Formats: sequence, C-alpha cells, structure tokens
Amino acid sequence: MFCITLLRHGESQGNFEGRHQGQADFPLTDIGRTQTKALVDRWIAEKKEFDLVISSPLLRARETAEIIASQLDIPLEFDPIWMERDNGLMAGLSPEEVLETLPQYDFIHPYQPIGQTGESQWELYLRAGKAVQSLIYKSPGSYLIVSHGGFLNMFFYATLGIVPQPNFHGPRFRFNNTAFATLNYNPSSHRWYVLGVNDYLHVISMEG
Amino acid sequence: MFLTLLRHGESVGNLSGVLQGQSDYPLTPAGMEQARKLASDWKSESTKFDLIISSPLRRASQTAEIIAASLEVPLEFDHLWKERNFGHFQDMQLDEINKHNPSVDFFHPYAPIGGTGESQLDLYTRGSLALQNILRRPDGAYLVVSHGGILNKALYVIMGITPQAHYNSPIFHFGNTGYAQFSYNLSTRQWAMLCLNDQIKMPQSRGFMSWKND
Repeated sequence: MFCITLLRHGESQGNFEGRHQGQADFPLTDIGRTQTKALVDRWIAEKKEFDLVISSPLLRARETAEIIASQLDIPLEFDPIWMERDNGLMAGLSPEEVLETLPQYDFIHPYQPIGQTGESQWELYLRAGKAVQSLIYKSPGSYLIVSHGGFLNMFFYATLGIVPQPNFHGPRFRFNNTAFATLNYNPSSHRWYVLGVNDYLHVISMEG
Repeated sequence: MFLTLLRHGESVGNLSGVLQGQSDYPLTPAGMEQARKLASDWKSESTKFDLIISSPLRRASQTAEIIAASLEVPLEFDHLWKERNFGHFQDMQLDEINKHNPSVDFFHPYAPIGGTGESQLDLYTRGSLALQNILRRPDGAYLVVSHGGILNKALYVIMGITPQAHYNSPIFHFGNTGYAQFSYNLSTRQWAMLCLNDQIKMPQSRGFMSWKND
C-alpha cells in the first residue's frame, strides 16, 4: 500500500500580497513558518511517520519541507515535477496587474497556454500524471509530498479520473496553507482511497 | 450554495460487523454520542444549516434528529439518500461474504450486487437524482445525512467521475459522522470540495469496511 500525504506549503509572501505566483519564487512569511511549526507539533503528537519527503524546489515549498523533514528527521528529496503551474506572464502579478497587462478571454479551452506562455491545463494534468507515476515507481511506503494548490488539484484529477475542462470548469479541491490531503493506493487492485481533504486543524487551533 | 454530506454515527450493524445496506439498524450509544459531539462542535463554531435532508433508515434518521434538535434546523426525509441495496449480502458478516464470494477475475459496473441488489450504475443514477433534488432548491446551506456507499456516488456525480469496472472505482472514506463539505457557485456552476473528514478526532476503525466492497 502507498500512503500519500499531499501538503500545500505555508503562507508565502506572494499569498500574503494576493499575487498569482505560479513558478515565481516567493519565500514563506513568518505566519507561514508558524503554520508549518504547528503542523510539525501536531504530527509529533500524533506520532505520524513518513519514509520520505518529496518537495517542489520552489522556495515556499522547499522551506516548508525543510522545516518538517528536519524536525521529524525524515529524508528529503526535491523534484521539479512537483512545482506549481507555469502561469506564463501572470507570474508574480496581482489580479489588477493581470487585468491591465494581459488580454482577457471569455472562453478558455484546456489546451490553451495560461498567461500567454504558460502551461495549458492539459500540460499541467499530464505533468501531474507523470508525478503520480513517479511516486508509484517507488516502493510501497508512506510519502509526504510538499507542493502547490494548482498542481495538487491536478494530482486529484489524475488519480480520480477527472479530465481538464474548458474555462477551468471542473471540481476544485481546497487546500489552505499547510492543509493536507491523505490518499492510499493499492497497486494490486488499482484502487485509490481518499481519506481526508483540506485538513488544517493545527492552523484552526493556532488561531484559537 | 453550501452542501455538507454526512455519514451516520456508529450503528448496531457497524458494531457487529455486518453489511447493512438497506437493513434497518439503530445507532449504538457510541453512535449517538458521536452525533451529539458533532452537533455541539457545529454549535460552538456557529455552523448554520437551512435544512437537513436525511435518509429514512434509522442509523441516519437518528443522527439527523440529534443534530436537527440541537441546531434547531428543520428536517426532511428523502428515500433517495438510503444506502445501496446489497441484495442477499445484507445482514451478512463481512468476512462471511468474503469467504463465500471469493474475488472474481472481473466484474462490470452494471452487475447487481448480492444477486438482487443495486449495481454501481443504479446507485450512481440514484445519487445523481438525490443531488438534483437539492440543486433545484433555493440557495442555502444544506446538510444531508446518509450512508457511505451512496455518498460516494454523490461525490462521483459532483466531480464528474463515472463508476469503473472491477475494483477500480476510487473510494472516499467516510468514518462514522465523517463528512464532506462543498460549495457550489450558482453563477459559474463550479463545485469546490472544502474538506473531507477534516474534523474527526475519534477512532474511526469500525464501519470503515462496511460499504467498501463493490
């Protein structure tokens, strides 16, 4: 059995400023670090165990993963396949700047590059499919993935059998900062189990 | 629109390890406690519902009644939210079913379960009608109290997943009083899954297996 925990990074400077990040590289904020430490404390109390942490190399994920891996004493690998969507010319812009500088479309098909030069939804979906496969090529075990909201949504699509749809229509899976989803996979029956989505109790307790 | 899909608390059938389906087992004292705990958590978080819609099977209706009374929300019943009919597997111990019905090489999603029960496609169809009944209501926050098997198919409908052959259908785990929450944007017609099982702090082992076998 594969036990897979999908974790979104803590609050980043880009989140704080409300920017479209994509692959633009923002660090964590102090709140983001505190959220991550709250998660570490929770997982220590729950005696949670992982065999390996695999993280996106983008700063906001890297920092989140490094705090967890060092505190829980788990080996850590980086793989660019887990990076956030390349959102082209939108990278690092605020929603207002996007409206000012980039053309808007009434209809977007899923093959269309986002932000003029970025990944289409299909490209993102295909990358997520490869990421799923790269995980299943490892030995069964317990894996923590530290990645990004947009990409982790496509991980769900790739495992549950949902395909990209026009106008970003299609279900969304909410990931708050340092929220995680838990999935199990049984390769002998090709069955995916979804055990939890958007669990961020540690942040709720932190905020009282 | 906000939609919360809740599985009932621990039932007598969960406790004794039988496949319940549409057989009517009441809650255990622990199951009632789970429902009371959830109601009091929701009350302290100021969670509001406009209407509760429940399966009429006792394990669901008792769960719904506890929550409705505590949060002072009107309660209706809709038989479309009943659990899957598991045919002659109903009331059998799960290990007994597994012993007498060894894994087959292949089964398709149109096969009635337990000889006379509902196929996956029957269940998916019923789940979509149950969901449509809610979407035709006015905007609001709705709580559905139902069962693991049918709730899984309601999730398929929301996400656009179709029933799969053999053992390949994904499974969304609902522990006793586990729930999934969704928002549905009435102008973009877009669903977002806000959480699944994120609040459960009590042990959830019992009842997990009771609806898994399709």
